[in-house]
Amino acid sequence: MMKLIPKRRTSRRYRKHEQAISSVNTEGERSAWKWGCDNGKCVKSLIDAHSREPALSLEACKMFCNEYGLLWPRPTGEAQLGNFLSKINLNNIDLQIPNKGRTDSLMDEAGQRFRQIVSLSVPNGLKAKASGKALTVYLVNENPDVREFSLDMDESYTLSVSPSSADRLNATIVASTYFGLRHGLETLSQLIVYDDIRDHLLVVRDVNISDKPVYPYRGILLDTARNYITVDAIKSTIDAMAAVKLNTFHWHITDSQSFPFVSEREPRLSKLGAYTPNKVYTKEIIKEVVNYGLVRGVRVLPEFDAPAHVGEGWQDTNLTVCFKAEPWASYCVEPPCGQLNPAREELYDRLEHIYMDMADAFRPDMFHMGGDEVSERCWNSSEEIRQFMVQNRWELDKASYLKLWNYFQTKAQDRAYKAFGKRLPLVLWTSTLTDYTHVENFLNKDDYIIQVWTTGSDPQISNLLRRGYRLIMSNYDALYLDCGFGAWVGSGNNWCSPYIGWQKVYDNSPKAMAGPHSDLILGGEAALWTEQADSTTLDGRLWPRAAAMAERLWAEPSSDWHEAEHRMLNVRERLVRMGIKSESLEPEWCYQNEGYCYH
Amino acid sequence: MNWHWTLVFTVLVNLAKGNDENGVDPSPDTYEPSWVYKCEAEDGCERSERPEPTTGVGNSSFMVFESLDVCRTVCGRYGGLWPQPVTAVLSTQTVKIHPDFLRFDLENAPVETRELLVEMTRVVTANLLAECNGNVTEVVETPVTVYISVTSPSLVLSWDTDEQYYLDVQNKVDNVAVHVSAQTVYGARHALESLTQLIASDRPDYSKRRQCGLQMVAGAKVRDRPVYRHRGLVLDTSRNFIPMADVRRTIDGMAATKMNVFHWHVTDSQSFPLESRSVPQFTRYGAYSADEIYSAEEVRELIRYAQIRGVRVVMEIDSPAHAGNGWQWGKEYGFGDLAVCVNARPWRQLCIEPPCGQLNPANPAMYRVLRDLYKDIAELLPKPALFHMGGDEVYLGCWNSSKEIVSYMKTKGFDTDVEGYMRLWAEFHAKALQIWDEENGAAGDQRQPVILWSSELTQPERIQSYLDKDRYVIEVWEPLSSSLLNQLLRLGYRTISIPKDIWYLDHGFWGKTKYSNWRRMYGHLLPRDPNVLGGEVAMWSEYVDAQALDTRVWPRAAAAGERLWSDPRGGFAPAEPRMQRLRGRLRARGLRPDVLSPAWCAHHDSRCL
Repeated sequence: MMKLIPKRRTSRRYRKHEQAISSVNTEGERSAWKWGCDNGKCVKSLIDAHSREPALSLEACKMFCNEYGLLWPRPTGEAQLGNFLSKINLNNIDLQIPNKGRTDSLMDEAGQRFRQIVSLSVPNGLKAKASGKALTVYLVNENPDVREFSLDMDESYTLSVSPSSADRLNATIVASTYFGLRHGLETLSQLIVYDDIRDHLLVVRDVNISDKPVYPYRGILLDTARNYITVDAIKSTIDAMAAVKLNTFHWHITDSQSFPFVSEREPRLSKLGAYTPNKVYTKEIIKEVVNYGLVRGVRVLPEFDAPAHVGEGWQDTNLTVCFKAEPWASYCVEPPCGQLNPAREELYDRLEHIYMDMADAFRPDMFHMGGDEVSERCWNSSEEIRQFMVQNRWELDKASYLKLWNYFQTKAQDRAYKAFGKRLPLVLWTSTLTDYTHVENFLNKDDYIIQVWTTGSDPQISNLLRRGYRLIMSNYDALYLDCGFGAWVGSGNNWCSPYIGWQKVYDNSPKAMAGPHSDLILGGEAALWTEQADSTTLDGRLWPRAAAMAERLWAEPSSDWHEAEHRMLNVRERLVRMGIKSESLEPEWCYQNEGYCYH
Repeated sequence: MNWHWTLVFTVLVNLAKGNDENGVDPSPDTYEPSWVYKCEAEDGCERSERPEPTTGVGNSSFMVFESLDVCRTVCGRYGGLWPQPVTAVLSTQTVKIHPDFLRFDLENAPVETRELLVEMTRVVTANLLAECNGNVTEVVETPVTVYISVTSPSLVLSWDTDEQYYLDVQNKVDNVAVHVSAQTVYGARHALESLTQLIASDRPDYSKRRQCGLQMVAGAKVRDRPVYRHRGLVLDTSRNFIPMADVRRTIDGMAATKMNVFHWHVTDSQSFPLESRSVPQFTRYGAYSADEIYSAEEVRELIRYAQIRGVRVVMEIDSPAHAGNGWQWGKEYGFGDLAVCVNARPWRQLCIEPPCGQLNPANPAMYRVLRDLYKDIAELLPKPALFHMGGDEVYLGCWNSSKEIVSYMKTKGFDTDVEGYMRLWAEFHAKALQIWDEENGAAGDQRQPVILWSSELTQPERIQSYLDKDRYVIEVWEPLSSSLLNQLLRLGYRTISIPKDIWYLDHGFWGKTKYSNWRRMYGHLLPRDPNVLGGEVAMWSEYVDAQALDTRVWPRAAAAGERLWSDPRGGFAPAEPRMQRLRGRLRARGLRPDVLSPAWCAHHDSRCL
């Protein structure tokens, strides 16, 4: 039910003016305000019943008033948006798919998602009038058999909207893959707004857009080990990612705190390591998530972090060292400690089992092997490892522990290739192993992609690039979305404080960090480590800040966040309508009064 | 009866079975437990391997539980109670109960209080069901009778309300008798909240079983009363609108932590969502939209909702600054400017944040409109009414930019310097207070003190000339380093403490402000002075709306809740297991509290310090 402004009961002294206010109401008593575009900003004013000029609703105005309308991320090629909004009938939208192939079922689901998102543009409790033009959407996929993710997949598309007759509009999306086509549908859905003055859906008419991303890898990392994340929460994260054209869900599925990944070949790991028996991800669940991502153009990339960041789950294998060691600060970065014992040959069989199970469940085109924060003191605390070092004629110093680590990584790499049945691209976090001064001794640049989590000004970045390594940017000073909250061990605030505002996320440009080697930057990724987040709080940590990154990675605009602010406030509202509990960025007043809330 | 030793017994049986199995089916439905929770006096509840069969019944120095919640409910001196009571003696044994066999005996409560008490007991039942996600499947017929004894027939909720209570749980052979005794219904409500917290679901954390039963501490004696009488939370519903359902949920959280003042910063310069029956223009011109309004009826319902939960609603109409949208229609109605510099640009010199706006003290019509608003509010608020007049961040430059105000100053003989504007500001408050007294009096109340934020006007060298200490309570929001609170106490003013660098929940997301985690909020001590009525935490909503509200407020506000109720001596460490339990409780009741730590830490008390 729509809530009306209650009937006014004015006191006597106001009575003579009553007429004046009543006349404000042109449409029942719903909306007192209209917006007009003035100099690139939407200006709020009272609806004037005597005026012949059509009153614009807030969103309709924003669609007009901005160079990129309400599109997020903004297109990178031609973006021609016409000056007319046409009323369309929600019940009369028709999708035409001329080319058939292996993506047919995906197309069906993408069409359903499109209809659903369009219907969500009608605010809760309101009902769009069932009149207006019909809309026919032609979805032309030039390669309808391609449904595999890869780092060089083509995500481009073109979109045009034009009237075909007096009562019909045509929208045409052309793309060379399903992934591009799907992006085109997201864009089309963003051209549709609700007019709450007249209760109509409106679409921008006379549109020509050609669009493709600047970076091929645009991701979100979610840690599901520090706290478990429900499958529903993962799916809704993927939904939001699809809305802003992010394409990789990096699943940090295990860590030392818990092991929720169900390995059918090594079932004891999750049996002992899951927080509770129902806080697990089985093969069936993962396949469901992977397919959910595929429909939404989002690859699901598994990470099995090793040799550090393991612990719970491995209790009865005897393959870890310093598990739960105290004082923990001597052996790891946070409790509980734990590292794999690379001296044990049996370890690599177990790893291969885990990789095989990951291959079955994820069928990934890339694989993340973790590799961060290895503690030599942890390894050094084990008599067995020290002996192994001596047998190999290694010292017990830093350099030798790097050799041990490399020994582990090399064997793990072989097992990974074997398990996945192909030499798929591997990703590792920056660490002492990836230090540019010696990385070439350990990691082949054609095999490994390095994910950078140190700051954006770290000289490692330019030096790794100079040596030809491909990078994914997750520099913590702009892309770690867990920063800024209270510490959970000790007092004060967490290690990477302060909180990162959306502006900083938006302005974090891989191109600027890469200098002359930006071709080696595959893209970026926002990380949500979940020491202090779980399914109940996930949305607010990720959104809408991850959307700010999404535009940066899609478009790499030369302008900064100021240019994007009005659209950013709108994408936040759109996410909220999708059921994503996004943080609020500003008072609603600022959304309604563009250009007033400057610094 | 379900003694913990019987739990140990079932554990041993399962262990024997588990040993035979290798290559266990990973399907969670057939999952066998691989651990239990062990309560140890020093360390709280810790996940651990199942005990060996030889260390068993009789000689064990610790207790084991299949459910973490049950472990927390009996483990430690205060079990799962939040805030910590003055004294509590809790049995380590539990008894299984079912809400259908819970009876409340109100014979010893005055007739006048029974209707309210019945509603309070309904909250208990609902909260118990919530522990089992709405369905307590394990039915036991053990009768539990709660004898509620209340002395006073009064339903008044004020700073003078006696909130202390006694709670006594006795497990007889075939029934459980609970005795609640309190001076007032509100003390009794707190006892009922504590009673709820002596109960937890025994659903084992390792099982996907659908069964859920409730375990209640089998014997308890709790004596309890608050240290501070004003334990509040400010919610700003103007910068962003907060729907009523979310406001109610916030009050649920307050009730769970025995906080008793909902300070509703309902309007500000950004928007005016509060319906005024006499002045519909406020919302017509000031609400963000027709859907973002609190109708008078909804406000009335909220006040009742809060009362049932022992929470008093304090309405704040911030003035003379922080008023703009909602007041901008004066000219159109022939009243002149009710407010000045509304939405003015550039805003820097005229207000603290856009949009600007300050009431126009030179315009008598402004006072007439204010009177109508006050009349509506006085009719809404229960008596004695507690009203907050704001009074913060007045920008003299804003008034100084108005010719009308400058010329009014001349006629009054005020200089147009700082002190002159202080006189103008003080005159505004004096007139506003007089209007409030008249309207609140007309609504049947005595003269009541009102609250003002600390400001330039409340500086020690100024305040006595302008603000009578019997009429004004000062809410001091200066940072911890400021001496204002102590200076005002020395001058005899009653105060409420809300140090912004510790107890502002919006800090850490803008500018140079720092986020306070619950441990920091918990560590803040207020002066023990009878004139410190208590404290508040504040949720300003520039960066928050309904979407993120819960995670910002909870569970951190509860840290202040315990500080204000119990003012415990120990640091946060002994409180942390109870805090983890509270977070689970809030979740069960439908809130979305933020996470404190990896779940691993919640399973290993004292390991993540």
